[in-house]
Amino acid sequence: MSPWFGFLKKEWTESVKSYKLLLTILIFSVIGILNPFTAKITPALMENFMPEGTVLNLPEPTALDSWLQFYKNFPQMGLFIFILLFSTMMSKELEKGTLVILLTKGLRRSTVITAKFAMGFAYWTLAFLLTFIITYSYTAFYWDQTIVQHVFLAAGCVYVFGLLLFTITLWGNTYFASAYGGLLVTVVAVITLFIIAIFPDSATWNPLQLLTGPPQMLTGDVVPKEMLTPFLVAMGSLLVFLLGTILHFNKKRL
Amino acid sequence: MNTDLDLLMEYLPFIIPIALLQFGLAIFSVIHIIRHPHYRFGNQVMWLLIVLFIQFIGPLIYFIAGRGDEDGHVH
Repeated sequence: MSPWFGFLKKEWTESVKSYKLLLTILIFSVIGILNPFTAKITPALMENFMPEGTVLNLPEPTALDSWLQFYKNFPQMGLFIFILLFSTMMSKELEKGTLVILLTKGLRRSTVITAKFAMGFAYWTLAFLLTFIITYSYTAFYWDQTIVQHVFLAAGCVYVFGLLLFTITLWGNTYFASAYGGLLVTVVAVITLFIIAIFPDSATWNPLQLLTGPPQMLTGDVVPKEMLTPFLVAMGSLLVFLLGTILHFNKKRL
Repeated sequence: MNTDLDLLMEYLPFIIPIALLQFGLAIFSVIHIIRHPHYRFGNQVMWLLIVLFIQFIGPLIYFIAGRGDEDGHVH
């Protein structure tokens, strides 16, 4: 077994032992179920809580409502929990000094970062697929999905944005060697993106568009072509952050 | 009464998996809390209450922040 896969296996075992696999599966299935559930139950709840005699003309929920819930819950709750779960990937090892032994035995430093990134990548894919497939199945079961456009492409945008945030967290986590450092960097990055988004012109390239665009994509207000530049910018910065992490870790004193 | 039952039946495909996940997670966390009596902060009673009475978020907080290390060191 090559050192890279060996280290990946170690990461995997660690994540299972620290209940990350369990929590990821549980939380993201729950989010997946909650999306269509919230969409379906909201009109019924409103009717029950309104005072007697109030006439409410709430439209029947549609597939669009279910997907709007997806774009509300998944990036907010899901992404936040995911970042929280995986924000200690590097700092834990740096704080405890567990990497020193492996590195002195000849493990390449870039292996550490790329394997950790691959693990986070795999987990994020798992989390995304779980939520997406569950929401998709429920929505297809209850509603007619032909009214929503670009379901897969829109969801893919959120997936890419999550990947970018994870990479930023990994960089911050390695750079500051503390769990809070990684979280802080991520929060700062998100706030920066939101500040940039104040300027309307930035919508053509701001990666945040990958998060705010998809709901409009479903209704056809945003065409997939407009997502290309934000996507490329997101992928570019992802690579920059990944390379930055590797280069920084190569020189880091342990 | 009849309409309530209809309503319940309509939402059953949602309620069953959510309830299963919720109880499963709560029971799993309780077992874990009792078998690993070392926590980063707080005591056993506090964690049991959190895990049992705060749905989803309680066990999540326990596993992320409250769980002690495997070797039993208390930080």
